[in-house]
Amino acid sequence: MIELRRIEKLYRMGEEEVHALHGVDLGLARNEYVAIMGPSGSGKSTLMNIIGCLDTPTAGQYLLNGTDVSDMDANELAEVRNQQIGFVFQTFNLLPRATALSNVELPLIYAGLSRRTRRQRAEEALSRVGLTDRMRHRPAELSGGQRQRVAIARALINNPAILLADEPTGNLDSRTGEEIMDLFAALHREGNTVILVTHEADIAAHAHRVVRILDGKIASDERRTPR
Amino acid sequence: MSFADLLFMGWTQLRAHALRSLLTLLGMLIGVGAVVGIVSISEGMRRFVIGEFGKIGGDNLIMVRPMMWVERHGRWTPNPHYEPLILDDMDRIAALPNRFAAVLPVLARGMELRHEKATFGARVEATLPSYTSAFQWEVERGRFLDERDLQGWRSVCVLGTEVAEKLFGAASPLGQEVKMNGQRFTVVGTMEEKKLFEDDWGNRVLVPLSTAQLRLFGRRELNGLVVLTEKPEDVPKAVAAIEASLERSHGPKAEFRIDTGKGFLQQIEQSILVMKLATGGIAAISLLVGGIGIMNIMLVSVTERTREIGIRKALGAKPRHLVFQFVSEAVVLSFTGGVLGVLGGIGLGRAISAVIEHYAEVPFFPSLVSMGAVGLSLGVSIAIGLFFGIYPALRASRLDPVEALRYE
Repeated sequence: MIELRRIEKLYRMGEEEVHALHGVDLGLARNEYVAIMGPSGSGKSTLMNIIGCLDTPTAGQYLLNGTDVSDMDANELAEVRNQQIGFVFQTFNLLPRATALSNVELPLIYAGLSRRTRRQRAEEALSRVGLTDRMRHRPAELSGGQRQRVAIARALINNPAILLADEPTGNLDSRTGEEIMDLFAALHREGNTVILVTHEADIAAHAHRVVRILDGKIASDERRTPR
Repeated sequence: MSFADLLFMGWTQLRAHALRSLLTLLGMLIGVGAVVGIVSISEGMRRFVIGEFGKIGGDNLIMVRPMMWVERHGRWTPNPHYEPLILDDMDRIAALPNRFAAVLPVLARGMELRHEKATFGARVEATLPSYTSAFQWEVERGRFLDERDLQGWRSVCVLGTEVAEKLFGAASPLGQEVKMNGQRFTVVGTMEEKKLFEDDWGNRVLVPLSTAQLRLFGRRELNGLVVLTEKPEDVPKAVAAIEASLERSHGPKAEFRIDTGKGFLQQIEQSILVMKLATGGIAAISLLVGGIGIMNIMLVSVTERTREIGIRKALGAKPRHLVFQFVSEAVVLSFTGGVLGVLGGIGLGRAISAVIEHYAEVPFFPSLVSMGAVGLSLGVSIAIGLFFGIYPALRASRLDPVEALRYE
């Protein structure tokens, strides 16, 4: 479903030119549960941004569901993000002034759905992550785990092709982290494709496949039986 | 993303920073408030003047006066071609083929009236029976002067309310005698109350023109003439005919001053227009400043909310969605300023009119809120939000999602 072919990424940081990715080739099938691992500066964030269509590669080809997204403009990329990608961030990235319900509704606003449909689907999504009684709460009134559940509900709302999670347990205590990982495992069993970006081995251990990045290249790619 | 969504988002944002938003829209508020307030007051003033003017003939009024003084090289000097306006002029003008509603003399003097021990300094006016209908001033008790009084040089008079009250108190003055200039006059009627602008007509005493010239003023000269046409459209022709008539009897060099009610009203309209334009200028500056304030706060807002913009982009917001969002925030801000300004302006107009009514003792001085001014102000408010909001909105829409998400 995801096919990365000889992806290169160069960008400037001040005077310096950074070669973040050196010819990355990677293929992912539907309903895979993959962890992308690597230390900071390895290029894994850049890779995640490209897979998430937040950024485009300098060279190479990226096929998502058979469509080449490498040369898309800002509008087309926004639509792909809206329809195909569900992001879960380390810092949750919820809008602080909006209720859980409004936060979950956001992607549907950009999908052009009516207020009623949005409400209904957002309520369903929050129920799925076990937050039926927290819909009207603002992020500040929720615990870290609850916030991450809101973010997961938001990521799932448009039935995306990929659930892309960047250090999803990085800001949570280990017990809550485990709960969130259980939720990902459940979502994977329901048929979702999950990509986990992390530098923690025990988090990556939940995945069925681990891809290690080092210095902008794939260092290893192993399939395994999860814990 | 519907229009309602956008407005709701804008309103939420405005309320989230209530004080900041209020300060930002102050410029809009002051600009719009000044326009609506001043326009309301000028409209009220215009209506008031037109209404008051209507009481003495309004658009039908023509005033003829002799010119004793003329302005030459910026100085007032005696008019070398001065010709007095006399009774014959009035008769000739009244005899013109134009159909006039009334031709009346202006001949008045302050005089002391006496009844027994009471005295009162009144304005004695020499006039004709058509006076009441021309100036829409009706008799309250008794009767007005009539043709027989005029033909018979009768020593009769009609008193204004104040004169009657000062000389006779609560008693009826009808049939009683008053003395003016040592002559006895019989009171045949009293007039109802009338005020024009701030002038109370109650201190007037009306006597037949013939009698006044014979017994009181002793001269044929008039202070002026009032001519009323039947329709306002007749005024220009009437003025031409009056000018021609005066030239026939006084020669081409004689100068008379002819004013029309319409000309007077035009002068008023012009000064009101000047007032409106001056306010418009102030408002334009204030609105410009207000607009820049909105742009400034929107730029701050875009920077502050870089991360929010990143999140929205990650979730699928297209550049135009962000343009709409930030422009509508600016419009909600400026439009709210406009609405508050309209309300403030209406209040300002009311307050000014109340102050005028109180201190100038004008019975009724309305402040008229013109829907045109309100509509224009609100339209301009929206336009300012659009214009000054577009640049910050474009900046928001062009942010790189990766950079924006990384922003702390």
